[in-house]
This record gives sequence, C-alpha cells and structure tokens, in this order.
Amino acid sequence: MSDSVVFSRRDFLKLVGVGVAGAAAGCAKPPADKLYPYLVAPDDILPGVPYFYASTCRECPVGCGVVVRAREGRAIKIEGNTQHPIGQGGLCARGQSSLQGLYDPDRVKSPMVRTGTTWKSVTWDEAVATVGEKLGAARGRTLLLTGLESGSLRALEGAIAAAAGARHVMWEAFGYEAVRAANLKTFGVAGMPRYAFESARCVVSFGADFLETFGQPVSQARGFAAMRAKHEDGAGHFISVEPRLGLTGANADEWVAVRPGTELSLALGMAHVILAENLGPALAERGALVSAVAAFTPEAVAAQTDVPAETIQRIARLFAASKGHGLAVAGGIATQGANATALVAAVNLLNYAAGNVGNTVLFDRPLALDGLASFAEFAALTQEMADGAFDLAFVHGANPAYATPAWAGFADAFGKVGYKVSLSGTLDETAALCDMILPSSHALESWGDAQTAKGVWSLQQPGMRALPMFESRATGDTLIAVATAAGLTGSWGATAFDDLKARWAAVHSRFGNGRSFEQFWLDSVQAGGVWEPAANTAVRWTGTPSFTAPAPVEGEFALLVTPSNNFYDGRGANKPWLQELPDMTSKAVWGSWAEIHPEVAAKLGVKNGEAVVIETSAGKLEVPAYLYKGIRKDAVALSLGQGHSAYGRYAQSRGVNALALVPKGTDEASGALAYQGAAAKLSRGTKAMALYLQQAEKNQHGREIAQVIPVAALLAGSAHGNGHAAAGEGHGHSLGRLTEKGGILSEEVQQKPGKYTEPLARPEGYQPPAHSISAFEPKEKVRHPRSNPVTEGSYGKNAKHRWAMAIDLTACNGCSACVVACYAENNIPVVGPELIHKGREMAWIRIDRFEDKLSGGANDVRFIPSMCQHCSDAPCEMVCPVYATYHNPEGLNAQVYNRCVGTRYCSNNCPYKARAFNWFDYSAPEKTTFAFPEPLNWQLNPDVTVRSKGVMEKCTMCVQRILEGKGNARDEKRDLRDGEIQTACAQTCPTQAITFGDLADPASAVHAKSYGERKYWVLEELHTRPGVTYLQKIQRETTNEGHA
Amino acid sequence: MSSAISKNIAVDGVNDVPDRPVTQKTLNDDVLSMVGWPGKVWWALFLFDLIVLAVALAAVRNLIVQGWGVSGFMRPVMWAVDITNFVFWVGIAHCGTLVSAVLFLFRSHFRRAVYRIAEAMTVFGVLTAAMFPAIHTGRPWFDYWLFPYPNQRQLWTNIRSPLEWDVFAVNTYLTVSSIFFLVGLIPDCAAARDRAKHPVLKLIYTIFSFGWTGANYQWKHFYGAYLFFAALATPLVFSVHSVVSWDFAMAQTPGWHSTLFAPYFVAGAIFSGVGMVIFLLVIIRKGFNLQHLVTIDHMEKLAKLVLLTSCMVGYSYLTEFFMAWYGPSKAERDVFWFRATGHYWWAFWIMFSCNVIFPMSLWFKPVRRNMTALLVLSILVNIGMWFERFVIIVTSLTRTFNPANWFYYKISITELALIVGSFAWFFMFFLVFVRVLPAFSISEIKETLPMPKRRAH
Repeated sequence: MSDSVVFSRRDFLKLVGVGVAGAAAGCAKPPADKLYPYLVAPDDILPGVPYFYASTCRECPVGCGVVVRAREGRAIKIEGNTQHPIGQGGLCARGQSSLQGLYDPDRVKSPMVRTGTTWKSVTWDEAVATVGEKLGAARGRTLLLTGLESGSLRALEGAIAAAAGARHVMWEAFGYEAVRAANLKTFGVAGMPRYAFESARCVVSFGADFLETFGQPVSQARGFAAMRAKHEDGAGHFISVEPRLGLTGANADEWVAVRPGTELSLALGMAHVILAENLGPALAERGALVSAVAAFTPEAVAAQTDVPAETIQRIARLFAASKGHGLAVAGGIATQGANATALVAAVNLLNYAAGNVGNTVLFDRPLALDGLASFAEFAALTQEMADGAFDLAFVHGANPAYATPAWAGFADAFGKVGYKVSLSGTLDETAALCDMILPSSHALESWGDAQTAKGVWSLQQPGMRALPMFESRATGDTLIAVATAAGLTGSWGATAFDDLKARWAAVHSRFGNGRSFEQFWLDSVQAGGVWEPAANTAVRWTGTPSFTAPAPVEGEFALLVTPSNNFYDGRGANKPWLQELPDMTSKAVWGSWAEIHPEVAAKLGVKNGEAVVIETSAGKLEVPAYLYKGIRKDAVALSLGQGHSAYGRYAQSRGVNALALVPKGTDEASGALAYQGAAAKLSRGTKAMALYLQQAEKNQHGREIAQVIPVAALLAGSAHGNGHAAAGEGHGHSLGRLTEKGGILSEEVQQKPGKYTEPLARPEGYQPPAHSISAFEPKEKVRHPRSNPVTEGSYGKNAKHRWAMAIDLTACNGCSACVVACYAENNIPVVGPELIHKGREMAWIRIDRFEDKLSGGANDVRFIPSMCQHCSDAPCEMVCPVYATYHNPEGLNAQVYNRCVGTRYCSNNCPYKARAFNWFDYSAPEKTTFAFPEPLNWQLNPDVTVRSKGVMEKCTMCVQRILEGKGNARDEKRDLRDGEIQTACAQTCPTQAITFGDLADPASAVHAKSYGERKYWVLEELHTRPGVTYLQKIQRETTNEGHA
Repeated sequence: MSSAISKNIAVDGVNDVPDRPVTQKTLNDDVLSMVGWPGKVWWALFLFDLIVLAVALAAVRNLIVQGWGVSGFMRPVMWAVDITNFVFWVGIAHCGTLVSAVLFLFRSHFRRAVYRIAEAMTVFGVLTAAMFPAIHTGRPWFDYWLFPYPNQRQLWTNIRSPLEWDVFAVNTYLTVSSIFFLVGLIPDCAAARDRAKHPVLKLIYTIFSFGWTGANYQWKHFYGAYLFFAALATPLVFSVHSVVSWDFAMAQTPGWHSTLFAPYFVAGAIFSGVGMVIFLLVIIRKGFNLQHLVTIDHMEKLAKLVLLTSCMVGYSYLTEFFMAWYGPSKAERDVFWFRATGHYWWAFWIMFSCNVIFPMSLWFKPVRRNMTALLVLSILVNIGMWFERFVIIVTSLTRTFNPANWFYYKISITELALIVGSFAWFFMFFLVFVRVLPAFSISEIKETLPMPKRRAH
C-alpha cells in the first residue's frame, strides 16, 4: 500500500465524514511519490464509488457553493451545490473548468528562485528561511498584494501583516469601483446590491453583462430565467442599452444601440419621462430628482445618445409599467468609463424614481467588496512602489502585471521593490517578475473559507489530497511558516487549517445552536458552510448628484474593451476547456479578434478574419476582424483575457491583450479604469491572421432550428390546449397542431396532408400492432417518443424507462456552462484552434447561435444547445454497417466505441451533426496529439471510456450517471425518483434550462415539459422522433407601443 | 499497313472487323507480339507508376498510423475524396461488363475488338475501387467486421446499412467480372502457351488456359459457359452501381436523398467507363500499331455510346435541379443552388461542362472519327465524372440541415496523393496486363475472319 496515507487508521476513521483526501491535504504533506494501487484497501474507500465534498468555487470573487466529486482520491468533477445560497446548484463555465487549474500541467512544481531570467528549484525549507529573513528585515516596508480575500485567510493575512508591519492591499481587475462609489453617494452604502431578477417584470441593462461576469452571474442568470418565463400579463421584458451587444445583451428583446459613453443620458432621460409623467411612486425626494434630470428631456437625450426620443419614452413607460418591479442595472464596461460613477448614480436614480429599490434592488445578500482597492488606489500604490517604499512584496491571487495597462507602470514600479515573492500556483506574468515563487496549493486541494456575500460563511474543503507532483502549500501555511521564520508572533494557528478552525469559533458561537464545535464543524463542512436567511437592509436616497451630459467620443471609433465570459479578467486563459469554448458572441476560439460592423469593414476593405489595425493614443494592435452586426458603426470592441506573455502553454501567445489599447484615463469619482470610450482609428492590416470560428454561419436560412413563439400566440395557444385536454383526449397536443397554430414552420407545404399522407381510417379503438408503426398512423400516435418500435416491441418489452430531455430555449441564455460540464464529465479531448477551425470540434454539446434580427431595435438572437437528439428513428443507426450505434431498450441512441470501425456514415446521415470523430489519437500518451498531458489526465472520469483514434463519439445522455442512479435505486430496493439522475449539462445549467428524466414516467418533469406548451422537435419534418424536445423561446414585441 | 488503314476509313464502317489485311496468321502475330519482354518506354512508364504509387502508399500509411486527421476531412464533410474515388473507380469498372456481357447478349459484334481491354479495365477498376472503402474507415484493421462471419461474440452486421449492401455488391461484382475475364482468356492463353518460349511464361499461360486443346467439346462448353456468365453479369451492370448510389440515396442528407440516383449513377458509370475504354484504346492502338484491329468504326461506336450516356447524365442533372425546385424541401433547394453558385461552383461547372457540354460535340461525325478529339474528350469525361462524385458528396455534406454546421472542406495533400495513387494502382495492373496477357481476343476476332480456303481433294 502506498505510504501516501501516513496517518493512522484511527485518525482516518475520525475524518471520514470530512473526507479522506481533504484530511490528507490538511495535515503535514507527505513527500511526492509514485502511486500504487490499493492492495489492502482502506475500509471506507470503495473503488468505483464516488465521494462528494462540499466546497467553494474560487475562480472569481463570487464564490459559488460547489460539490467536488472524487473517485479513488482524485477530484474529477465539480458541480454546483444545490443547498448553497450562492449559485443554488448552478455553476458557470469558469467554475466548471477550475479542475483544469488544479491539474494544470504548467503549475509550478516547487519553490523557485530566479537568477536573471532562469528559475532554480529550491527546497521549501531554504525558501522559507530566505523569505523569513527578508520579512524580518523589511519591517514596515512590506507589501502584501492580493486579490479580493475574505474569511479566515483575510484575517490571517491581516494578523501577519499587522505583526510584520506590512500593508495588505486587495485589488481586483473588476473591482466595481463605480458601483460602490455611486451607491455610497446615492444610498449611503458602499457596496454592491443584489439584483433580484426573479422579482423583476422588466429589466433594462446599461451595458451590464450580468449573465457573464458582472455581480453574481450564476444566481442572476437563474433569477433572469425566472423573470423571462413570466409571460402571462406582458411581463418579462429585457431591454439592453449598450453600443455593442454582448452575450447578455443578445438575450434582450430590444437592443437600444446607444452612442458609446452616453448610457448615462439615456438612464436620466428615462427617469425624466417617469418623473415628468408621474409614472413612479410618490417620493419625498421628488423635487431633487426632478431638478437633477431637468436637462435630460427625451429630445435632448435623443441628440446625445443617437436614440429616438420616442424610443426613450416608450421604454421608460414600459419600465415604469412594472410598478416598482422594474430593474435597471448598470455594469460591465458601461461602468468602466470616464463617467462610470455618474452612470451608476443615474441608474440608481432611475430605479429609485420607478420605485424599484427595495423590490428588485436589494441589499440583502450583496457581494462583500469592502476593503477592495480601486484602480486609482492601486495606481497610487504603484507610485509608492516606484518610489521605493517597499523592500519586500508578497503577491497572491492577483496578476496586475497582466491585468493593468502598461502605462500604469506596474512592471517597472514592481521592479523597484527589493525582494518580490509570488504565492501563485502558476507562473503568471506577475510571478515572472518576482524573485521567488512559493507555490500555493489550488483551492480544490486546500482548506479555506470565504465570506463573499453578506450572511454566507462558505467553507472550502479540499476535494483531494494535494497533487503529489507539485510541491505546493496552502497560502496560509506558507504565510505562517514565513512569519515564524521571521520570528513574528501573533494570533494565528500553527497551520492554516488550525487557524481556520480557530477563527470559526466565532461562527460556531453564532450558529452552533448548542452543538459542540466538532459537531458544528462537521455539519458545516458537509454542507459547504453556514448561512443565515437573507435579510434586506433598507436603504434610502441619501444624495442626488448633479449630472452633466457626457461628452461624445472624439475619434471616429470608440474603443470598447469588454470582459470575457470565458476568461473573466484573463485568469481563465490557462484552461484549455475555456480556450476551446467558443465565445458566444463571435463563436471564435483560442484567440483575439476585433468586432467591427460589416459596413465599417466594407469601407476598410476588410473581410471576416482579415487583419485590422486598431490604434489609440495608448498603442496599436493588429487582430483579425470579426464582422458583427451587433455593434454600432462608430465602435470597435475587443475582449479581455488573451494575449498572455506567461501563464502556461495554453494561455501564452494566444491573441492580444486588449489593455494595450486602453489609454490613460479613469473615472474620477471612483477611480475605476476606463475600458470604454477611447478614441480609436481603424485601418486595414497587412498580416495574415487566423480567426478560428467554431460556427461560421449564424443565419438560420429559414430552417427553424431555434424556434420562437410570440407571447400572443402562446397565450392563445394555451387556452386552446387546455380546452383540448379537458375534452379527454389525453395525448397532450400534437406537434402538428402547435405548428399550425403558431405558424412556426415556414414550410407550410410540408404540413399539409396529401393524398397519401392522410391518416388511414381505422375502426374505433383500433390498436396498431407494435411493429406496424408507420407514417400512416395518426400523428398523435406516431410522433410520440414513447410509441417507439424499440420500446414497444419485444426487444425492449421489459424496458421501464425512456430517457429524454427537454430544453427550454426561453431559459437558455447561451452561457455555455453545459459545454464545459460535458467536457469534464465525458473526457472530451481539447483539440486546439487549428482543428476547431477545420471543423473537428469534439464537443458533445454545443450552443448554436442564430442571429435572426440583429440591427438595433427589436432583437432576435437565439441560442440553442445542440447535442445528440437520441432519435427514436435515428438516421445514424440505420446506416451503421456493424451496429456500433444502436438503440438501447431505454430509448438511448448508444454508441459502442469498441465496435466502431469508423465509416463516418452515421455523421453524414445525422441531420443534427451531433457526432464527433476521433481524427487523431487524442488518448495515446505517446502521440503528439495527446489531449491530456500529465496531470490533466488525472481529471478523466473513470466511468467514461477515453476514445481512441478512428471511432465516432457523441452525447450519451451521461449513460454512466443513468447506470449509477439505477444501481443506487436497486441497492435501496426502490424505484428511481424523478430528478435523481441528472446529466452533467442539466446539473450545471444556472437557469435549469435542461430537464432530464424518464418520459415513461407520466409524473416526471421532463414528461410535463415534453408534452406541454411550446414544445417542438428540431427538424421534426424528418421524422426522426427525437428524445430531446425543445421548448420555444418566448418572444416579446417591444417596439409595438400597444403591447407595452 | 497504312494503306489498310486508309482503306478502312474509306470503307466507312460497314464491317465490324476489317477483312484485310488481317488473317489468321497476322492476327496471332499482332496480338501475341504485344506480350513479351517490354521495351524502354514500358519500363519508364512502369517505374514512374511505381514511384507515384509509393508516394500514395506513404499517404495511406499516415492515414492509418496517424488517423484520418491528416486528410482535410471534417464535420460535416466526413466523406470526400475517399468515397469519390470509390464511386469513380466502380463507375469505370462498369463499362467492361457492359461491353462484354450486355453487348454480347445483344450480338453487337463491334465489341469483339474492344472487350478484352474493357474487361481488364473492369477487374482492375474494381480492385482499385475496393481499396477505398477499405482504407477510408477510421480503424481499417477492423474492416473484416463488415463481413458477416460467424464469431463467438455473436456480433452480426447491420443488413439495413447501404454500406453493407456495398460490401456484397462490390464483392459479387469483383468475383463475377474476374471469372468472366478469366473464362474469356482461355483460348487466347492457349495460343500464347503454344508460342511461349520462357518456361515461366509457359507456366503462366498453362495455368490460365486450363488445359485448353481446342477440341470441339471444349469449344462447346466454352461458349455455353460464356453465355451463362454473360447472362449472370448483365444484371450486375445495373445492380452494382445502383447499390453504390444508394449509399447516398438512402441517406436523408439533402442532395443525396433522391430516387433518381440509381439510373443516374448507372448511366454515369457507363459514361465514364466508356470514356476510359476510349482513352485506353486510343493509346494502345497507336502504341502497338493496331489500327487495323481496332478500327475507326469501333471507336465511333464507342463514341456514340458516350454521347448517349452523356445525354442521360445531363438529363439527370437537370432533373435533380427541377425536383429541388419543384419539391417542398428548402434544404434541398438550398443545396442545389449552392452547388451551382456556392463555394464549390467551379467543381460543379467542371462537372457540367465536361459531362454535358463538351460531349455534345460528338453529335458531329468528324469529331467521333478523330482520334485526338476522342482522346481529349475521354480525358474530359473522366475528369467530369470524378468531379460529379465530388460535387454530389462534398456540396451536399457542406450544406446539410443545420446552418450552424456549415463548414467548407479543403482538400489536403493526402487526398491528392490518394487520387494520383489510385490511378497509379490501376495502371500498374494494366501495364502488366498488356505485356502478359493477350489484350485482344484472338479467338473472337477470328470468328469474323473468313475461313482459310482449302484445296479440294
């Protein structure tokens, strides 16, 4: 047996509930060694049985609750913790991919010292001694620069900083400075509210990418989906006010293409209409508000914003019609401009004037952002560094060398610090500037806690023992060791784990409820933390700022540097899943591009994918152009996150860092860096460029793949449908009727019964034999996933289930968390940009983006998750010569990898093109095409085959999870419960757009959705009878005055 | 001899075979002189052929060792040059059986001069074609799974799959056409055997002549068997390429899913096959000075067959477009519009001009009787027919139902190697054939010669 388990069996049993691997990580670390299989297995580990550890996601400051799934001591998947108030079971694409941070092959292997440009490995003892000595000597001249920290680590850092006389500065690239400053001014609270989308009836977003990076995206996405599902009385509108339609904006019913930087005027113009027409509640501050917006008449605003006055009035009235349940959100790059604070204040005023504050703008569970330095404060700190104020600097969780523009001078100033120590786990740009690296363990292999939102104390439990090939230590352990070596004393524990537990004594005293600490600790660790019910802090209007009309951007084009849904501020770029995940606006992968309007491109003579040069006063970049109709003609947009000069093989030298174009400029009121609004010049580039698109065609060509249903048709239809059901038909509605009613299919001719397609006249009560299901049977019977020859015939006569999926396109917002979850669950290889560009993507689920209307005004961009449809009459099954793909008795279209010869006929005949072929050997470690370099292969799910060269693969509806669920039910001698089995995509979906279940169970959720209103099958006319049913996206008309 | 040629032209194709100066003796000499130790030209051609083949084999090695990723294939175009080559060579193979079996049954005597070449082309064409389904799979080492052999895993093949039909169709065709070829060779091999000096050659001919002595009962059985195999092979002319066409027609991909495909493919196969026969004959009759055996009249008849099948193919193209326009499917309409005007417009117009426009010149008799014109046309026809298969496969797969999957296939160096390699493979057999086996049927041509006059007793 491996000596990796060094504690005794007694200790082992004590910690069983906490988790074997976690306990190992918390104790002293054994030396790195080889792995041996269990000869004498520990009593409590069953090979093949997963263990789950509640923890906290640390990929962004939000800190969603997660559950780590571990198999044989390795974390193989993380999923949202359904019990946790942050995330509520959903997890975004970045969170899903944090496993690849843990298993990043480019993690720092041991402490390292830099001499010149080369790094030399040293032992921990030497490293700690060296740094301890420096810390002892640099009393009062030490800087501790971290990302946003909370909980025990922050307290520990504070304590050590106090003992060492050091300064602790927390800085984040997305620090919400303007939001905090404006809220302080208008509400007297320097925090960020929680936006209760679920209570809203109408949302107006001022550039806020609230489904991507802004605020608490996962929770917000869930609330947003709940709002969008409301359609009964005209609710659920979403209007996006931004110069460039991002992923969040693409979900809007209407795109108000405002001139860059003038969102402020539009918000005030709306407030002006509401106040002038007295559409909001009676307010004590009305006088002050009216005078603040007096200059912003719709006509004046129209001139400033390039938005017609009628539109401003219309959306203001629509917004106010929600009677206190509208929600205006300012965020994203709109709050990273020269007048950002004024904009947020204006939006606060708008919310206040419409009576939304307290209903949809709540301070019950805001993000904890206190103590976070603004960019201006960070710039001041940079100046201090440049002035030689520090002899020693520790950096942890922040990468300012990448995430600040060059003119901020961080690299030079940092060079003036006497000795620089990075506690980063990877060699990022800032670590590359340091003199020593003391690698920190990844969040998934170390203990910790987080208080990222008010009233929530999350615990971060390791999902596994620290990876043996990396000699890393928990950040807290490193700091304690260094402090001890420096001879510092203070109130901290002997190890970070002790310290954490000690600091949780306070939480225990508050939430213990008479439990012993150990019991409380165990309960908390198992649950992922403790939290109290959200209680709103009422705010009142504390001050009305005076607003001045924003000055227009001077140059021909305004530069928009947008946060990335995939990479956040750039920290996601070293994860191949995120690089391979298409950006949901351009559908580009593995690189950078500039979004420009096609007309602008035509003027420049630039085609899609050709080089364009963007020049601002700060610099010049040459990138491929992406022609995008969702951007104003006077703007050019680049996304953040790429262009790393270090940070591992997956991040390095991909695309450009858009910050190189951001000129000197901040929002003076808050100190936020201005990502938006610099004057830019465009010209045709000369370099050969590559734009790797995963989906080139975004026009549906009338194919009705992603369908919508107007609210009016839906309301009329549900009345009709109810009446029909009451007549005792019992079949639900047929798809044919729905399409006739809604006029959904453009190809009417295919829907008309012809001479030979009329249902055959049958005597009353005639039951067709199972084998005779044919096109001559009535539609209601034939087009019924359950009347499947396979499940009705002798082959599957004992089959109890028909696995199926229902996907609600109203809820799907294109966030792509499902895609990454599928990569993680199903061992899907990452193939790199060239192969993606060739059309060799391996993803089993992809989200197609269709731009039906994208030119300002009414907006119709549709996202449709597309995977194997598990057809009852599968075209792929018919053509496989060797039965490698066949229909299993439970309705799954199964793919037998070891039977597959690789004729690829199945893919050619699949109308959904849901199949991926292994063009190369992605699974052979000896080949250059190996997709899982050590230790990324540690993440592979042992329940799923890693496919070899030459075989076809596709979505299995997570058959391994189905088997696991069925096995569990059998062991417990019970029937399966609906919802017990969830596919990886359905599990992670922040909006629960995907419902998986058993169609043979009439009480199941998937049954209700599959036979409910809005249902349709993609390419129904091909009669494939899919197991995946889609629910049409509810479409609202906003440009129609009467409708509002 | 040149006078004989000019005389033949003057006669203007009344006789099937020229009666002069061909005699029993000269016929044997002419045909069997082709057989024997080759000259420098042959060796140069053969060496060049083997070099090309070696390059192609290197490409195949990469495909098998590294995977099909080295090709330009992708989703949605998972077939392209592989199946294009397959269908092309199966099509080429069609003409042989048509000429030897169908025309035999219809007593079209002009076939006698050309059928041996056509049959050899058939066998080598099928051998070339059969390579592609075998190597195009992702795991060629498991190709034998496509054969329904009893195994202890109790796995069987899916007989609903058109690919499985292909397995049977191609193997049947290979078997029957090979037998037909070998049966026809028996009397000629016996003649060669009797002349052969080298013991190895003697052995080969002995084997291929199956103990032929020219006895009366042997002739009786020979003709009986020949008629039987002709009758057996005739349906195959239509069935094999129909089955091949169903690889496409049975799929529901727009541009493939059509009931027209079987007759359309058969006509196209004969079209390309006759084109290839013309190409080979023009070269051989020039290279071996056999203009008196394969006359201008024979060539003109083959040219008429090209004209006929060109009209049928052209009609099929237009029907496809008409049905796409007339039918209800938008996807179908889009794919045909794309075919003619989209990304691969050039491939479509190469196909259309080579297969329909240029062959229309064969309506003119001087063109039909001009060997240079026939040579150029036969090359164009084969280029056109290769592109026909390319257009059907690639343009249809490029534009399937979901626009999100529209990507363009780009040919890679590997596929180019496969294309030239397939020709090298074919010509390797053919070059050996013309030097080893009698390329013209001595016995059948002799039937048209006047009996030797004998003195009365």
